[in-house]
Amino acid sequence: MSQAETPALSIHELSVRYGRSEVVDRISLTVPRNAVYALLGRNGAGKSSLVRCAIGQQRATSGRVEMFGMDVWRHRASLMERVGIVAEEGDAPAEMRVGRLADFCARLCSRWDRAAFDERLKRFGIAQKPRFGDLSKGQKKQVSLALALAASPEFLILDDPTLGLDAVARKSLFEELIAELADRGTTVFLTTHDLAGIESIADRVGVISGGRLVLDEDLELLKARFRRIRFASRPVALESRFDTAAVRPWGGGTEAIVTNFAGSHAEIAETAEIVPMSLEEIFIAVAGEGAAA
Amino acid sequence: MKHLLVIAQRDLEERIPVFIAAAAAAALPFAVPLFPAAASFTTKDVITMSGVIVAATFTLLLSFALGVTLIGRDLSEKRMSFYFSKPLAPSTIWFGKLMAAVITIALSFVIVFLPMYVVSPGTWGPGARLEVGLSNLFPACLALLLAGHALSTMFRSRSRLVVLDLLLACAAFYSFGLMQRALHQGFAFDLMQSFRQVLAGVVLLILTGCGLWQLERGRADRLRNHMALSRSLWTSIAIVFILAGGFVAWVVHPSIKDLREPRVFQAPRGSWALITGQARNRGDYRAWFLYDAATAKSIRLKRTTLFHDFWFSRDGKMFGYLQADAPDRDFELVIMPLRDRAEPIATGLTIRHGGRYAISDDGSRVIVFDDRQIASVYDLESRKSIATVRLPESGLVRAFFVNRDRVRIYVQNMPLSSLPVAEKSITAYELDVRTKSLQKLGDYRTEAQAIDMTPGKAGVGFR
Repeated sequence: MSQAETPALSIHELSVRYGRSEVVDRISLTVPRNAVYALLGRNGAGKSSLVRCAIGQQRATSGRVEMFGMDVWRHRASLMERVGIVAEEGDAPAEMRVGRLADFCARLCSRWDRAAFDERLKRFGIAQKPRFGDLSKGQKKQVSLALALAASPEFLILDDPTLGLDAVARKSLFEELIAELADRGTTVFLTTHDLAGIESIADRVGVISGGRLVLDEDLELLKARFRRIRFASRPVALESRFDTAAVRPWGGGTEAIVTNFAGSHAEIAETAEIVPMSLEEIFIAVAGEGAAA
Repeated sequence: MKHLLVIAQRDLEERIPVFIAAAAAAALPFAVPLFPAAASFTTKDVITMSGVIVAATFTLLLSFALGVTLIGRDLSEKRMSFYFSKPLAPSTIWFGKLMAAVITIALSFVIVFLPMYVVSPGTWGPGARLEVGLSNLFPACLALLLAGHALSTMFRSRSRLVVLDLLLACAAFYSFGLMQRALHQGFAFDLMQSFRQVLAGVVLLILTGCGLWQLERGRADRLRNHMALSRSLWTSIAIVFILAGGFVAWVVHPSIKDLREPRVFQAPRGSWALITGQARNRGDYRAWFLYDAATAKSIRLKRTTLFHDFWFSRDGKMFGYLQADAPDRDFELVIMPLRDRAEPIATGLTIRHGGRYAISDDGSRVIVFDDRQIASVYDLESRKSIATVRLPESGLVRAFFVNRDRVRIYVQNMPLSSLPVAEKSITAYELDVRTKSLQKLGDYRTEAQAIDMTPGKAGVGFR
């Protein structure tokens, strides 16, 4: 495999255990270069543990994580030259002023772009003077993103970047991300709850539930095969024709969420209502209460 | 190296309030002479004394505070991930932060100490031993810095593992105490000091190495940092203490051939002698041996005390000595028949520090004098007191058993205030154990500077 074909991130059979509790259970996934991979999961599903392992901050109980073909635990320091990270919580030293934070990072990163950092701060409406600890949660995330992007990373990793942000801050953060993707084609791996936000930018989606990766697929293919079908009465051969994630009564009839809908199925369209599903609806069907993906 | 300096500089920038506090502390010694209580000393002396106290206290407290916040605060506030998301090796983070802490401590000390030192240079004569104080202060600061870091990592993890840490720390201190005691029993005070210094140095190196190891293994996670620190710390300390224990065991087990410049105390009769001296290659460790010239066999005595606390029977067939865990504790009387393969017999009889005793030639009875002039005779087999009398006068007491039932007691009056030319006297008594009666036999007076009494077969010879 040539260097250009080496995936940005490659996770093999990764498990993380805390005492007797297995929070990540033999997960394998690959993030190709120039792709945007969104890892979705409910609170406590194991996303953050997986991310910590992926960036070499935590050693997995078993399994292997490679970034650009290199073992991330052993080569973390050199790999971080090529990676920008936005942590779940603003983790920069609270007493440092925003401008000093940029100065500090500039001395550690060889491809630091101070002008881009200043420009982004201006767009976010954040001054250089305030201490990082005095910023609001949204501002901290914005500064963290500006710091991560100013290092001109090849690979951007974001752990729930919109958690706790208001609608305006969320929109501004995603706009910045979209601009970065348009400008430089950076590979992105992010975990999020904000399904609406990533629906327009993600190429591939993984869903983690109870520590297991229950879904890992291109977003377009995923959306093509999931459908909500509503019948006036219960069809006789529903389960034999489709794989169903859920079947439940709906008004006087039946509603089914099918996971292998392909083609036009014109004969069904005459007797039933076929509704495309949003990523959020698919996520709930796959990872929600009583899901059977 | 460049990144290490970046980390150090970042931490130093954060410490500007510490330097301001140090400057404020530097002004304190100059305010102390204004207090009425300081009026009886010269202003310079007051400034110097209070300056040293303020500088030392400030630096020591600062060292511990910096240790507590060195890594532990970032870990508990989940900020360590910031450093690990940068191209920084754990060694760069650890040594960068450590370097900043050491510079902060040194600079703060200079800020507090220098104004006072400049203002009162005359008080720093050779007797002030400033260099000694400083040479002890900085290792103490480093120890507090690293200990503060280790404690902070352990307690901030909020893990029950900290209980195990405390138990292991107690075990380490106990082991250290045992090793010190073993050397103390051989009066190896210089060796003890060197041993302490080397061990402290090694423990500081271990703490430094373990700080690096905890970041290498635990990275941004506080629980994993704690686990990595505890594992490496206690494993390293166990290895070092095993080696140190081996060294101490070697020191306290010299052979009689290892003694340099031995002193020999021959039994009044027979072939046995007590031989003592400092052991070769073991610093000032002193060992005691009972040596039989007839067979060239020697027995090493453990836990012995000072020279005057041993005793040979007049027929040279019984030996007695006091043993204690440490020379300043209460002693237990031990007797030992002088024959081949004889073992010491602990009598269970405790003699207080400074107490005198004498054993009957057959080793069956002992008379013990306490500091209240009370003489008690014990039967060693039954461990019971069989006669107790109060001596009519106080003084230096020597005694010997004439036979099992009669004890000759000599009390030497030697008032300390009139030394060395005043008249000294020795009064002789005889205690009948069966009737429990004390009879005065007579006095001996002299103006000699000192009197030496040597119990012989018929009585006591005076010199």
